[in-house]
Amino acid sequence: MYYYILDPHNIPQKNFERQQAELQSLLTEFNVSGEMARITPLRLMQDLVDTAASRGVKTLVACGTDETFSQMLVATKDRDFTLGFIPFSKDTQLGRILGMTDLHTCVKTIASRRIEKLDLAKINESYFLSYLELGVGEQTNKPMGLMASMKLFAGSTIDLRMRIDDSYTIASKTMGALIINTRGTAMCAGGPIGNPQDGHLDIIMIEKLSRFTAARYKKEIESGCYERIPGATAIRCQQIEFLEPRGYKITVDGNEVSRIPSLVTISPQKLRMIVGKNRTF
Amino acid sequence: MEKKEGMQNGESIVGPSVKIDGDLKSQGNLRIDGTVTGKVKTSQNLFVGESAKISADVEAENAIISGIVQGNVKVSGALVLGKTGRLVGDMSCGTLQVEEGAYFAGKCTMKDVNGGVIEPIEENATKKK
Repeated sequence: MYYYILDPHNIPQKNFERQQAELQSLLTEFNVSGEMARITPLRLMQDLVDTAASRGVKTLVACGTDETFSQMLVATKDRDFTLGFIPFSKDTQLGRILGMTDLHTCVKTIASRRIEKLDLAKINESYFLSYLELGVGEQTNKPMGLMASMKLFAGSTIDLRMRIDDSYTIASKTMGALIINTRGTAMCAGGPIGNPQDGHLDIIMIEKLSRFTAARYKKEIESGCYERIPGATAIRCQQIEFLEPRGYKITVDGNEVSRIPSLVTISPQKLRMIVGKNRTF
Repeated sequence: MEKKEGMQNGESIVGPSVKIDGDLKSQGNLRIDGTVTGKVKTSQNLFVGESAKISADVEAENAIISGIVQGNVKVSGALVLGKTGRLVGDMSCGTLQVEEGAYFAGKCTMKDVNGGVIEPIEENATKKK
């Protein structure tokens, strides 16, 4: 049985209710059975996931924003579920990665039950499927004007120090970095970086760029394809321990998830996930 | 192995401003443009760029050295010491190419085509004279 958890948080009420009605109608059309539950101030994600587990539900589907899915990952607490995601917002990083962008495609995919095992990354106690951002990495997939980007690239560098795989230490003056499990950018699809089924994390970093270079590679910076920029660093690993600068914030899709020092690990093939035909991996 | 291959298919890249301290191991191609102290080991191709400074023992399948390496280099396939390359240490390789302008100080051991190591010629001939 499918258990759909609907999250109205960060979605305009009118829009949410329209999408909910459309979802119900599509589920009936595609003959997908299941139960729906809505997050309220009294019934949080954790309560709903616990209820689903006690009823023997095997498949959970998060309906809402990327944050809804992140909350679901945390709430599952290593229990054996197959997970799905239906975005109720067009601005969805996760939807692009999984190939689940519109309601019709999502319900069709759920009905056909295309499941892939994916690596699950963890920073301290928070799980993530996409990537961590530091410095200019925070602007990934957020279009900027030329002046705003010039101002950003003229900013100071981060003296980043991290221990990799408990084997060596990296020190670098960097403008920004991404720690990638997978990324939803069509521009850099097809390369070895960001495959969520290879059991590895990819670190990509860019150095301080001249204004000319920054303008020339603006698209690559905005889409997080740092490996295409001269002087970039790209390293594969399974564990990263951020050591310095202490207190520096690390974000996922612009939301702070941790501060340095912190530990990032990956659990290969841990997550069973419903994925669409147009996924980016 | 051409130089371009190392640049395009480099699975791991260490940028010019990066300093690595410890044992750097890679399963894929590795390009180093920064500073490394410790050990460098890859099961595939290694490209040491012009700006690279490596103070470590190096192991790879094939290698192109265009930067500075202080340490012993062990390559099972082809080793190319580029015109800007400086190697201070012993090297062991399958085939060797040294470009004009390269600097090398150390001992070199190579496998012969039959797979054995060529014995050094003894000084008997000179003694008989």
